[in-house]
Parts: sequence; C-alpha cells; structure tokens
Amino acid sequence: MPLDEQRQLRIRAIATRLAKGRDAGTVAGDADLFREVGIASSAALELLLSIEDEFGIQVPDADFNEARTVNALAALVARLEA
Amino acid sequence: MAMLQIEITHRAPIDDDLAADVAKQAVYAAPGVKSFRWDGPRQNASVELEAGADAAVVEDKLRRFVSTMVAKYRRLPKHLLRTNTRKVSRPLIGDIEDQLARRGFLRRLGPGQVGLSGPPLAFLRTLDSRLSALARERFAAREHAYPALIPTQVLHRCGYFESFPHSVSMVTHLVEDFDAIERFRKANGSVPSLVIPDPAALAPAPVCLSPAVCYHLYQSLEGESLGPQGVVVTAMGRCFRYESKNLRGLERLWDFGMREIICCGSETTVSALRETLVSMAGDEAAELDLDFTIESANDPFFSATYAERAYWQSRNALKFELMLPIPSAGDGTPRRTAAASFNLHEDFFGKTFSFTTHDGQPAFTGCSAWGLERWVLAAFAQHGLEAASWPEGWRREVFA
Repeated sequence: MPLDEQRQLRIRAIATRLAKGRDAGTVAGDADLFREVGIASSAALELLLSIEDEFGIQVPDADFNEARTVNALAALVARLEA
Repeated sequence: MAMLQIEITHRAPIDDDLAADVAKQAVYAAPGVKSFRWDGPRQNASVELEAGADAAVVEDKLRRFVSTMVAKYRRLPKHLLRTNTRKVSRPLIGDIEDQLARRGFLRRLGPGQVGLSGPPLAFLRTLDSRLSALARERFAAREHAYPALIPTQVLHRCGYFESFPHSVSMVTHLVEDFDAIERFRKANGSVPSLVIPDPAALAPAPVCLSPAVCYHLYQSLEGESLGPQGVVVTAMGRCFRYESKNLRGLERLWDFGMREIICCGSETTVSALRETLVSMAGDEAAELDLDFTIESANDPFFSATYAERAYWQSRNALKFELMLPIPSAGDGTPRRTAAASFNLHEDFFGKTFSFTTHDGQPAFTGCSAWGLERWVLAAFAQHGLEAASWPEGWRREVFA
C-alpha cells in the first residue's frame, strides 16, 4: 500500500476513535473532521496528541489549525516526516 | 509555619498561565494546603501547610494533581485586543478595602461575603444599570431575573461538574423525618457551631447555588426554536463559586454579583454580538478612565479537563477577558483581576438543551459576564475615595 494511503488509514483510525459513533474510515478525505465528521472541537488536543504519538512527530499548532481533514492531516504528516 | 518542598518533573516548560492556574487550584488538592508557590524555573514548588496537615498525604495528592494538570498542556499564543492607560497615572491605593471598611462602606460578613453601602454600592448599581441599559438599547435585549438556586441536574448537564467540580456550592437540607430533625435540633441547641449528628439525615443536594447567570437562560429555552434574530437577554444575579484559600476580599468572593448579556442564535449572529460586546466593554472601561487590557484567556478548568479545554478555548478564540490592575497582596507583585469575560460556547448549550435556530440547527450561544465587585475594587483602587479624582461622568452617581 502506498505510504500516502497508509498515513490516511492511520489518521482515519484515530478520527474514528474520537468521532464517537461515526466511522471515519468511510468519510470523504476532504470532509472537515470537526464540522462534518463529528469530532467535538474540544477534542482537538486529543487529535493532535494522538497524531504526534502515532507518527512520532511534533506538529506545530499553526499547521494543525489549518489541517482539518484526513487528506490535509496526512499531507501535513508527510511534510513533517520528510 | 510548616513548609513542604516538592520537586515537580514535567516534559515541557510550564508557562505563566499554566503556572498560575496550578498554583490557584493546588489549594483544592489536599487538606491543609495554605498556599502553593513555584520556584523560578518551575522545577520545584514551596507549599505552605496549615497546622496539623499531614505532609506525606499533601505531597502525594499534590504530585498527582500537578502531573494531571501539566501532562497534556499545550500553549497557544495569547492575543492582546485592546489596552488603555489612565489619563493621569497614579499608584494604586494598596489598602483601599481597609479604607472602605473603616468608613463603613464595606462590611466583611463571612468567608467570601461582603456587604456594601455608600459610594461602592452606588458605583456597583450605576455600572449594573448602565450595562443593562446598553444591552437593551443596543442589542434589544430583554431583562430577565433568575433565582440564586439552580437544579443540580441542570448544572450537571451544563458540564459544570466535569469542568469545575472544585467550585460547586451544593445546597442540602434535613430529610423529612421527625426523629432526624429532633436529633439535629437538640444537637444544635446550645453550641456555637453547626453539629450534624447523622450525615445520612442530609438530603443529597437537589439544588446548587448558581455559579453563573446564563445557565438559567439555556435551561429555560429547552426544546424551543428561536426566531431569525435569535434571543438576547440581560440579567444580574448572585453567583457562587467556592474559592477555598483563594477567597480574597472583593477580588475573589464566594457570593458575588454578575451582570450578563447572553445571546443565542446562529453562529454568525452570536460571534458578531460578542465582537460588539468586547468593543462596548472597552469603551465603558475607557470612559471610566481605568487602566485595562482585553486579551485572550481560558477558564480555570480543574485537573484532567484543563489541558483539553484550555486548548479548545484558545484554538477557537472562545474566551476574552477584560483585565483590571488591582492592589498587590502585600508582597509587591502586580496583580490583575478578570473583571469581565466575553465567551463563545459554540453549539454546546444548543445541543444540550435542544434549542435551535429558525432553520432547525442547534443554536450557538455566547455571553459577556461582568463581576461587579471586582469593578468596585479596581475602580476605587485606581480612583480613590475623593470625588474629584473620578471621571466627571461618574462623580454624581457615585458620590451623591
């Protein structure tokens, strides 16, 4: 599986855990995780810390603020891993 | 005085806001903690203990409390929205509360309870009336009045027990039982303090003392569909927050007056109103000729909820506070108090109490809350007790 898809899968797994009751595995990659997928905006820190733990990276807050979809987060992780 | 030194290990630096909130909340973490002070680099803390405190118990509880507070904390940049400097700079009057007390204008009636009269009361009433009038004239707000009590279940649904369990004031009463009431009566007949012979004779608190005014409005809107303009309400109420060892004169009362302006409606309506309220508050404070700043802030969430919710508020610019300088606590350290706040709650209360905008979406809410006694403290500390030192527009109302 291409690396991009792997990153998206891992982010979808985190999103599914945080979007209580919603399977983020099937949502569109460009759906807003907070407004459309149903992650509470108060769970943003949990999402950020989970991504950092999952990929072993430090995510700058300003970048995280802009990345609100699975695709955008996967691209951000790819950039930070590079 | 017994002191305890605690070494705190943490992975990231502790910034000023987190350090202040940990220090403020540490007094709730264990019995016998009188104060908590960080050392310079915030690797250690000095804890002042009350007589009889068990140092081992305090250390264990404080260590776990601090770890929980700092574990996930992430700092986001603060924003300064507005600042104002008095036309004539004078030092703050350090003993203003004692001066008010000596003149009989302030009476200390119990922990976190004061009585006011004379100029401080006139100022409080004038400020409150002006805010109410502004809300009605500028936002077509309706004036409401609410009880001091609030059903425990409502506070629970508002998330208060999860976010601020340390501040709750619960109201109980004796159960309906002739023998239990008789035992209580006889036990308390000739003793100066309360005796509870049988804790089981106290009912589980069906109500609490309300910690905020706006919760009453959200409860009252349950199930309603709001009109296209939303709902704007203003109300003044007594509010109650248990502050433990942090109770400090007019700055931090257990029982205080709060004027709120509350808006429910679409996200756009509520955000726009909040912006106008920030601007209006700045104009009012400038007309009062007070030193102040308006800046981003977060609520003092307790323990495990702190990091997540403080981050949420900062990331989404949900909370601003108007900060007023007040006299130092005696050690010369400059102090400020949050005298008004400007808050957005997204659609949390709309979802919780199922009230919707006219197009059927959960309503967004926001409020501006003014701690009236804090304005009294700051205004008198900055302008004093001589009418001539006050801005002209306020002299007649305050010193009539």
